Amino acid sequence: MFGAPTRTFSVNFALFLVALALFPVFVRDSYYLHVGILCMLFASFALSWHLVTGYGGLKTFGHQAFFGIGAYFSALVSIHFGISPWLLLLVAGIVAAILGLLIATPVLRIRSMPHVAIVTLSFAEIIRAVISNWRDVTRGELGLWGIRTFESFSLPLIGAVSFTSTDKVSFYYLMFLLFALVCFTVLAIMRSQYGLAIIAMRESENAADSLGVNVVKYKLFLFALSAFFVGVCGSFYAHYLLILTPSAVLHIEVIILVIAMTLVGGVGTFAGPIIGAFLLTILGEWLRGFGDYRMLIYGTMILLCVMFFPGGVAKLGSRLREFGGFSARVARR
Amino acid sequence: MNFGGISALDNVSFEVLPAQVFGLLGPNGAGKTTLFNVIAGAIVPNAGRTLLNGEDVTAWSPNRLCRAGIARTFQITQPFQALTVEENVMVPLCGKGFSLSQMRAQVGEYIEGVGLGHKRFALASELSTGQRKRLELARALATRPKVVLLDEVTGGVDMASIGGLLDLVEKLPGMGVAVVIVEHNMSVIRRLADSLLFLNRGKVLARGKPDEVLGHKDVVELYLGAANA
Repeated sequence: MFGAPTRTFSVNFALFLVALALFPVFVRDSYYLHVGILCMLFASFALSWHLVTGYGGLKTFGHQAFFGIGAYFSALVSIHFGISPWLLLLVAGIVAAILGLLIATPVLRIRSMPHVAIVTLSFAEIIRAVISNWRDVTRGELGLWGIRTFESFSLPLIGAVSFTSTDKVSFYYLMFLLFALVCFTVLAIMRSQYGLAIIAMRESENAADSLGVNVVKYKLFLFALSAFFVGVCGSFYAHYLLILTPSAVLHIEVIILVIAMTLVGGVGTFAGPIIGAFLLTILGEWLRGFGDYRMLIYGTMILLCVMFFPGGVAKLGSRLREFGGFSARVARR
Repeated sequence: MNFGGISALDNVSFEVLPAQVFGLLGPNGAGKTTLFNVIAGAIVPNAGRTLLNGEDVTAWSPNRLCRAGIARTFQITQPFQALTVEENVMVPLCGKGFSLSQMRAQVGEYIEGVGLGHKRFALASELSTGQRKRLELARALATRPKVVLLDEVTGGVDMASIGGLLDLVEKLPGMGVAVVIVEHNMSVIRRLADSLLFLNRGKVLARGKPDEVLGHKDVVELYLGAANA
């Protein structure tokens, strides 16, 4: 991950972004655009979570709290104070980042990773319990509705850009821009000397600390940045779907899904969380036709993937090449 | 320095001068690594002080101590396995205002200096124990230290590589670096150290020139038994 990008990576990534950008030109069906939006939303979430866990080595299982806080904060402020969702995208991210710093500060004192996982998960459960039970404000599981969507505007050459439930193209391109922002930020950090220090910290915290890497500062930075992006994703989710329930944005299933996406895609790689998010989101939608068997098939496929491709799909190519090389060597004998 | 009711270090005091090699000797459990950890900031002592050029640096974090000029290696090597040798040595330069290309240019001398030039682009996970010890030394030197703490620098290293490692350590005083070395190997200590401190059960048993300490009655008794003392 660290270092200048290879030509192959740059070309593949550029082609991927171009394909995403052109998707609505060829596909106008709202359902497929919705699936595309969810793919990019979860890819952004998974990349942000992976920044802390995959690169930073902090096993945190509470990122759904930042997603939920971003979503509920943005929704409630837009409903009660009439503030523009455009502004709230940023503010929700900042609120989530501040919360990230607050939870990270005590978590950083814990050296045992299982304890970090439990503490962060407990924190997310507390947030979920509060939002679920604070029915006067959040309406709990009845669902918070009446959320404002993004205001329309016009662009030169393009014309009016409106955000309505019937036309998802504008939402698609907004999510595309957010996804691209997350991707380029993660790439910029991880390919810089800060990325080098972060990987060193993950590999041996004691050694990195003894070599002048301020591990506390780096961990706080990672936590805050990751929470910021997840908070922004939550805010987008609220102003896109226009209805929120605690089980949709704060349930433990949310983070389990993100973890599964990262594991299937490949931990420790940039492409892994993206590939995993796209694969599992599309798979989840495709399996809807299987009714109650959907989750069984879904779970089995994840299990098989993790068992047989422990490096994830992102590393499948190199493993196949290794296997090909091995086969070629055997054939030459 | 206490762990529960056990006193790991008790009234241990010593001074290391610039360009001096100071040896710490003692049997297993004597408190040598604990003393290293206290100096390097990994453990905060219950009492006592660490002074660097007269400044009290007790309880400073390891990274702050590193920036102040104290670098260390580990008894059990801790390479950054997912990084190459070059990247490992670049880590101490992170956040110091250098570009990546400047960092790459700077670390060359340290990598060549420890004899790992041919492994520059190899992953640290591919190195042998001796090469990992060399890598740790290169990383420590890249911090531009005033004091280097070397914890069993020859431990686990094959006999053929020990000579080269010791040659490297011998060069450090010439660079103005003070060296504190923990070592079990008597011949290594005799060759490198200007001054010695012998610890036993957290207390100072003997101190002085290597010949004086190694010939000290209590030290001989501890290592060879009362019959030889």
